[in-house]
Amino acid sequence: MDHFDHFDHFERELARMMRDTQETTPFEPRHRTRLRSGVLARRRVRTAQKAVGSALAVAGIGLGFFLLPHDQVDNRPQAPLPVPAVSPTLPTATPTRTPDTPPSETASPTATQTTGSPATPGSTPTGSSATASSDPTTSDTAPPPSGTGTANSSSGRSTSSSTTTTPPATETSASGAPTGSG
Amino acid sequence: MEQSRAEGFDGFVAARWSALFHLACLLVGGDRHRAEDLLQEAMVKLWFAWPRIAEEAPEPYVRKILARAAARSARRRWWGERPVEQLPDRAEVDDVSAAVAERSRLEAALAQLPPAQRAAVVLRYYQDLPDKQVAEVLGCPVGTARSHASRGVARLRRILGDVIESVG
Repeated sequence: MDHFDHFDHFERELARMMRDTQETTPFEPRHRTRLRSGVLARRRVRTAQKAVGSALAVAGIGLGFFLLPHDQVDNRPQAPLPVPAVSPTLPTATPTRTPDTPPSETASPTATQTTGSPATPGSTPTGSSATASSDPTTSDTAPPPSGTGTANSSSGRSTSSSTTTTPPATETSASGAPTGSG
Repeated sequence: MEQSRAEGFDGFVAARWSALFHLACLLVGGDRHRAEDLLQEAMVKLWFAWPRIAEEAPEPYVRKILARAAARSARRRWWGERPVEQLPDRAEVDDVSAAVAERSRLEAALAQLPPAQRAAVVLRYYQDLPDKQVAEVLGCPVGTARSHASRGVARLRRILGDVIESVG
């Protein structure tokens, strides 16, 4: 050994004493018997540890599956919430889209489907608001045309009720008021 | 499969039992019962690791188990070992042979060392391991292993100084 050359006299004698004092100790049958019993005991311990570990793992997974759906239900967004956020934009969006006449054609069938009775023109503003709240997927496109469509088709009667919504309606309301009074 | 495993394991244990028992004796400071317990525990662990250890190096594996268990024994205090100023049982040279007397002196001197220092000294001077391998076996930094070995040798030099000078 390389490091053995660096030993001083005491260290070399210490190493020699450690080697020379080794006595012969045979591997006796009692050692073998004790070793086998030790192996069996350790095998039992390891089996028990595996069983406990598996039980704990199954219990943990079961507990996780039990708690996980509750968290998802709590965090899920509720369906009616986006609809009121869109519906107040209905009056402000109508002036920008009033020059577009084609949406009035597409929106009129939805109004007729929701109201169901086209005979009463006075009920169409309420019918249009009902369609905006009940259909959340088409709330961006469908409600404003339906409102404009009814406003254009029956301007004479709807202006009296919604004077603050549309700028063109204010002009008609200004002209309609004298006619109503005179 | 199991039969060949048992045969290989039994062959290794029968061939190396004496040397490993002497190593265990040195590591625990000469306590035969404690050394046998330590070796039995190491052999039980070796049995379960035998399929992956047998082809590589089973003896260094056992040596690592023995050394770490002996170095940890300070925390466990199984047998209440305490260092003393006077050697507990000095062998009488007139009654026993010189080899037995020398072994008794050596084991009594090793018993006075702390377990970590004793393990480092035994690995360094009996197993001829360099500092790096001593540190690897003990699971500590190289500087720590070197410090343990040097302090242990310095203490043994004070205890066995007169004996070794007379031998040399």
